[in-house]
Amino acid sequence: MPGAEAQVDLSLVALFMHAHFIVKLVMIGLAVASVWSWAIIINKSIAMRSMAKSMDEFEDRFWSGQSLDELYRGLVNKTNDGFAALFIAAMTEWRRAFEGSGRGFASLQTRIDKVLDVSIAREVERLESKLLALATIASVGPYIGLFGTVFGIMTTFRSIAASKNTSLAVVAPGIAEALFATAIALAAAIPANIFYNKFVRDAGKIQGRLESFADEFSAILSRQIDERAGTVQNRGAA
Amino acid sequence: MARKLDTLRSLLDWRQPGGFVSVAGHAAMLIVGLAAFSSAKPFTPAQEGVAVDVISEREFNEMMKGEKKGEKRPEPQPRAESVSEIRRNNEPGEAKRDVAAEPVKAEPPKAEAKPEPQRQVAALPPPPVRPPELKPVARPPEPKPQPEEPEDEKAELPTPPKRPDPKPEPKKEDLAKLLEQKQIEEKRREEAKAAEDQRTAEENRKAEEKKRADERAAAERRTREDREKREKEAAEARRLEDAIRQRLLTSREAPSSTGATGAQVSREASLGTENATGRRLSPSERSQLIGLLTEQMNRCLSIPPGAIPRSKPIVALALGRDGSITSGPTLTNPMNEPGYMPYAEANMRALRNCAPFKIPERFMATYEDWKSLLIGFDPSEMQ
Repeated sequence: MPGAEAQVDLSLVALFMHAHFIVKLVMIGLAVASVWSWAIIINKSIAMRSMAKSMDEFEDRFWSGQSLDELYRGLVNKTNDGFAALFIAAMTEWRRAFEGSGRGFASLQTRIDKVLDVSIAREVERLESKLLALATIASVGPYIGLFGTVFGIMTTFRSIAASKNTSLAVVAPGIAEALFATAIALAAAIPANIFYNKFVRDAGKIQGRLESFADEFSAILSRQIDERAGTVQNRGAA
Repeated sequence: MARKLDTLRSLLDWRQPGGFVSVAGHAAMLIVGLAAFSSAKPFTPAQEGVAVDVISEREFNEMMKGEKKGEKRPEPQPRAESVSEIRRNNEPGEAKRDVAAEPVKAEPPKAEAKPEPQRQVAALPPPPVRPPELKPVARPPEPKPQPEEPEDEKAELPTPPKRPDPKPEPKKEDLAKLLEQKQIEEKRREEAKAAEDQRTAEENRKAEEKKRADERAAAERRTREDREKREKEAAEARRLEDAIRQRLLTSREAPSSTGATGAQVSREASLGTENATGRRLSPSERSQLIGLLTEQMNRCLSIPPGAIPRSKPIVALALGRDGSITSGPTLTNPMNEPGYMPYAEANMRALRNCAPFKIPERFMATYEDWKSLLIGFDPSEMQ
């Protein structure tokens, strides 16, 4: 009996090498999925955190009483995200209305609203990009692992039937190999599911903040438009 | 294509280190896994449970019946039931007499004694027989008679000296006479010698023949003796058998034994056996005991008036060796009949109040049988 135990190598590499070709493919695929999901998780969490930080910073500057034009000039040549991206998009539209003939106040408000909506949508899309991959890994990973396990157990039973030996020492290594696939699948799927839920909630929160900022900013701009329109009418009247 | 390039570029972007970190983390996990799962720890075989039988005290006593303090001797000694110089390993039994038929041993020694001298006689002849067998080696003396012929030639040889005779004849007749006389003497001597030789040879031959005849006779005698001896022995054996059969047939005593004897009577009690049955109460003893108990109980009994039911309450109780009640009494058959419960309870109260019952010593051996009892109180006896 000790001799038989010595023969069976139960290290991870041995488990992988003994497995059937299809089970091997499943294991490799699941390992790649795990690497990918963790890459997405790390990148997403960094991106989310930096976005939240920049949004806080922008909010501080925006409400500090600085003139909007100065703010615009400070930000326009940078890559922006979050509030800054909305601000730049709206301000660009705003300035474009005044750069030309100075006409076009009538539909400026609607245009600004549209631009804000579009940039919100773009920001949210950027936030939620690749979350689908996480969701897929979380939901499908266990099934793939289960497929590998079932296939491994199937081949194990076939070899048992062929060798006509039902002792546990013969059955156990094959089952261990088969279960290894499910273990990898769960290791990949569990963190993917947890972080998917977290990121979806965070993205929703950021979207809410963006929308409220867009409403506020559009209200400010609309007041400005009305004031300008008033001055223009007054000028026209005078 | 562009998207693929974008994802590849994102791997190299310092703001998106996820790819690197993930690959490195998984490599680390793989190494840790290899170290942790390098070898499976084999199970330590579980200790098998020992089957235990639950046996009652009585069963245990039955098993251990016998002298509990009896020492088990290292070497089993033959059992001796009475003292005697001679150790006899008879079957131990109750009867005090031996089996009558003792083997008839007086005659056989005589029968054996007779053939023995015969055997000696038979054994003696062989020594004289042996030498004839050796004779062929001693035969060389026989060729001796053959040289007789050359001797005859020798006898003739002296004749040649006759030839020189003519020479002396012409010289002196005296000398010739002397020579002749000498020759005659020599001849006579040689003839005598030859005769003697012939005689010895003949004697040898005769002795040999005689020995052969003796041998043949001895062999014949031996076979005859053997046959006689065998016949005699067979006859004696037949006679002996008849005698024994006669004795056995005439004996009318039953086979019996005086028991084993030895230098000391063994005083050991037999040790406990596994299949013995413990002593139990006989039915009469049981009724005696219950009678004793009810008699003692009746002294404390006061039955409420009118509480005489028709049914008979049966009460279970357990007793100690000293007659005390160790558990119960409990009513085994409660009923709704009027007066039944007061009657049963009065009896149980009486049992409790008279509690330490006096139980005679002779019941102690069967305690295991009566330590739990069912007692019926017949109301008809009360009326």
